[in-house]
Amino acid sequence: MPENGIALLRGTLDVLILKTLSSGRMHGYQIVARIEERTGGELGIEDGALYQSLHRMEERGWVESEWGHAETGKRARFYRLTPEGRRRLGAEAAGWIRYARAVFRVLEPVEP
Amino acid sequence: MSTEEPRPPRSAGEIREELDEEIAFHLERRVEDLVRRGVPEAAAREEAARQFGSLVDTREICLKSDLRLERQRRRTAVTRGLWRDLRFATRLFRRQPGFALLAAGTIALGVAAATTVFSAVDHVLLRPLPYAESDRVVVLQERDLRSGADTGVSVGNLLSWSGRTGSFAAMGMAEPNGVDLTSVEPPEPIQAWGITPGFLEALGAEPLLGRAFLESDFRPGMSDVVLISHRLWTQRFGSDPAILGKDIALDGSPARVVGVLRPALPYPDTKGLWFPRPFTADDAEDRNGNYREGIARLRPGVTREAAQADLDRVAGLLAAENPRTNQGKSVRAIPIREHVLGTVRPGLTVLFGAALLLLLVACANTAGLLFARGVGRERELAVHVALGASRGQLLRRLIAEGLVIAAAGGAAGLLLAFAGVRAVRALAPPELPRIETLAIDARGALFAACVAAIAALVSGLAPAVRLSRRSAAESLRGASMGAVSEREGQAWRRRLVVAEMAAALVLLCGATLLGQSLARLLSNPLGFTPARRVSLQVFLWDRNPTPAQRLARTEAIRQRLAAVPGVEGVGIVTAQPFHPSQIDAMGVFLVEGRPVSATERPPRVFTTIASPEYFGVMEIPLRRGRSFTDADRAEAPAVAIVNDTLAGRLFPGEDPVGKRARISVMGPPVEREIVGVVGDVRPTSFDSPPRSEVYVPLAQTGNGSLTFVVKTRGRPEAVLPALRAAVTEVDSGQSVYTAGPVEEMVRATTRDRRFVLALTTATATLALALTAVGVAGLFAYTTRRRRREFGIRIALGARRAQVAGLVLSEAVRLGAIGVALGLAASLAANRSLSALLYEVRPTDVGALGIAAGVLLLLAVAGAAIPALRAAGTPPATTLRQE
Repeated sequence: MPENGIALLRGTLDVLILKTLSSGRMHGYQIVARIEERTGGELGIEDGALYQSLHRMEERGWVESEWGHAETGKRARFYRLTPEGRRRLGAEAAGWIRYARAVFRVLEPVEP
Repeated sequence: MSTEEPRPPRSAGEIREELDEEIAFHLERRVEDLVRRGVPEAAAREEAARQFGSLVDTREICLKSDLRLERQRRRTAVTRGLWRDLRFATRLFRRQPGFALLAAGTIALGVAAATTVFSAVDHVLLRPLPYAESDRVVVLQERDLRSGADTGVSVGNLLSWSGRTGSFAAMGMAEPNGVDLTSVEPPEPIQAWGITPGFLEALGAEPLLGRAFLESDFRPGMSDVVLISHRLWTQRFGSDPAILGKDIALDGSPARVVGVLRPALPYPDTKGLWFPRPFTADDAEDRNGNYREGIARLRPGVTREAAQADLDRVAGLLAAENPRTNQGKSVRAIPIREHVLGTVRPGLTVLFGAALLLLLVACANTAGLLFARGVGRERELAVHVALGASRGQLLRRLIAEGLVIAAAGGAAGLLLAFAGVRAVRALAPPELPRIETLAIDARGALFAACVAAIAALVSGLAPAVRLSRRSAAESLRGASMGAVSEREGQAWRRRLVVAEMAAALVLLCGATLLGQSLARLLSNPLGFTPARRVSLQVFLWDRNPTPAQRLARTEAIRQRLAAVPGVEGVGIVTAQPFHPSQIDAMGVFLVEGRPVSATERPPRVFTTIASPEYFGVMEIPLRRGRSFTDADRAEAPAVAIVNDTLAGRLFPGEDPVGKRARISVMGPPVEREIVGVVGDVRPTSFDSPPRSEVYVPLAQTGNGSLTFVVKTRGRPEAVLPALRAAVTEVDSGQSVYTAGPVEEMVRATTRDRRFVLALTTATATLALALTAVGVAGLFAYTTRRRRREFGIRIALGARRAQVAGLVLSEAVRLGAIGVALGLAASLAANRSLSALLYEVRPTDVGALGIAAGVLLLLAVAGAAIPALRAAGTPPATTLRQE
């Protein structure tokens, strides 16, 4: 979907990942699949960008990773939110929603 | 994964592999999903790669993040580990406060003693003297080759050396003098030094404020200028920099302050003031007045030895040219460091050694404590190891414990050292150079920290290494194994206690030898009685210019002093023995009928002027003939009294009474009849040999530099103010230069010995106390461990005294080893004491025997309570134990 998806605003991907991880620990592909499922593939996210974001957030201490076994029994790297990441998600999400509402109010068709 | 557990560190390669595995897993799942939806495998792979985007970029960016994260984790792991170890160690203080306090307190004592003495040694001995290029400065001293006595220099000789040698860049002298500060009431006597051109250049003493003397200051007829000492500036002028350029009143006339000297200048002394003293035409002829301080600065590149050879050459020439004054005289150039610090070095070195020995005892004691604790903890630590702690982690934990103890001990020790330094300042003889500015500074604090760290390593590391070296399995293997390590631990503790005893014995021997020296010294007869005598020194010259005036004023003061309640007698003398500013005079003593050739040096003796009452007041015994009487007046026949030494030297086998001699006192020789012989007095200290001395009546000379010795009924201090007042009642403008109990002056001469003895004794006592703690701790522990054995012995019929004897004989055995080692060490160490000993050999059997006895007694005393407890072991209960 990348070539016909909507270009993603910077920092948005972080929030989406944090939100996705808030329901529990999962590996990278699970995160991608969940986001695609939720957005109906409307957002053009490159898988590589997602991993870049994950590793960056791990460095910042928002998420942490450990090796475990996927459903198929294969070794996979699982991520989960840290308390710091959870705080981050709350702040970022609130800001995002305020921003989106403001933009939406302008773009909304005005009733005559 | 919990945040508490440290994750094992990963290498860069491992990080890269994990990243590749993660990406591979993702791509695989993507392909699987696509294939499941019906995409052919080849297309699915292409699609998965397309959706991933740039693999290279992502890999690189992720890798950088991961590597940064790893570095950060490693850093926090180290600090967190350290913190955990330290927290673990501080818990020790809460769990076992007694143990921790004892260990830290022991280290504190050692650190405090070592730091205090180090600060003193560093401050007084090690720092360079505050003179420019002070290693080029030498003090000049004349030496009488016949008597071996070193004296100051005469101005005539100084001028000759200065003009006829080539080794010196500058040479000058300081002439002792006294002035009264007359701007205060009553006038305050001040030590003043008249310094000649060349003195400041030779010494290299730049003033702190203002300027040094200029060439023009030495021109006669110029207004008077002075440099004041730092002590005078702070004590008398409130450290006010505005004093520069102001006039102060000295002996009633104004003198302008042009500069303030630096603090703690130890030469020629630290108090008083300096004024310019130009060379005069008469100076070249004065080769006798050798009471001045001579100083010179070596030319760059000239060694002291070369300069000394240069001086020897000129001294030889002078002796040939002026046989009457310079025959048998040499001059020595002594490095100023040696001159100022030479006499204090042996004492301070001994004290430093003593402090280090105490530190050693403290370390051994702490090590013993940690050992005892370590033995009990072996199982605990073994469990740690079994649960996965690496040997390194265990070691780190044990060292952290040592560090916490050392840090607490070091900090407490540093605080104690502040008190210690204050005590040293109060106790130290004021003549100790630079002692007035002694304080613990950054160097002292650094020293304390180093000592504490070393103490931690020495006392903590040995047991730590030994403990962590045993493998976990070995220690867990049960009681028999525990018993082996137990025995080994006990052996180590025993060795430590023996080492403590040996070190304590060295200190004890030193203190005993010093104590015996002082006792021997104090038992020397003085030849006079100092108790209940007060001395007041006055200078009558300025206010009473003629001899008749001086005699009248002296008699008036004597009568007024004698009338003070509590006074039993008043004697007057020019050179009172043991007086700190004794005014010695020497003169020729030519016995009638014994001609002296022109090239021979005539016999010279000390000439002292005394009043008739002086000998009675000082209780100097009359051996033959008579004492002076009031009839020995100026117009009466000239008489003299000689002392035992002079009689023995100049009249061997003869009775001097009735003999006649020409004696020079304050002028050309006058013929006098010897009317009596009195006993010798020690002139300046308990070990100064009596000198040839002749006394002449005060009434026949009219001297103006006088010391009134007053015998009091009660405590001399109580009468002192009234005596001072009596002098001012006679003449309100007359200042009393020095006043104080004679006994105090006598005591002052042994102050440095008593200082070293007090500190050595204190150190030895502390070392003994620590050793006693060590011995008691060892035996308390061993007897507890042997309760079963004792119980069995008693059950089998051993008498309780026998059981106690078992413990005590062990104590005696350890004590004997400690004594043997300590005595051997003492014999080596005491050689450094010899400079401080008086009539006691460093190998004195009595002193060493006493010290050894005390130590053995201490070993037995330390084991006494455990021995009694062992004797009291009930047979039944202990058999039931375990």
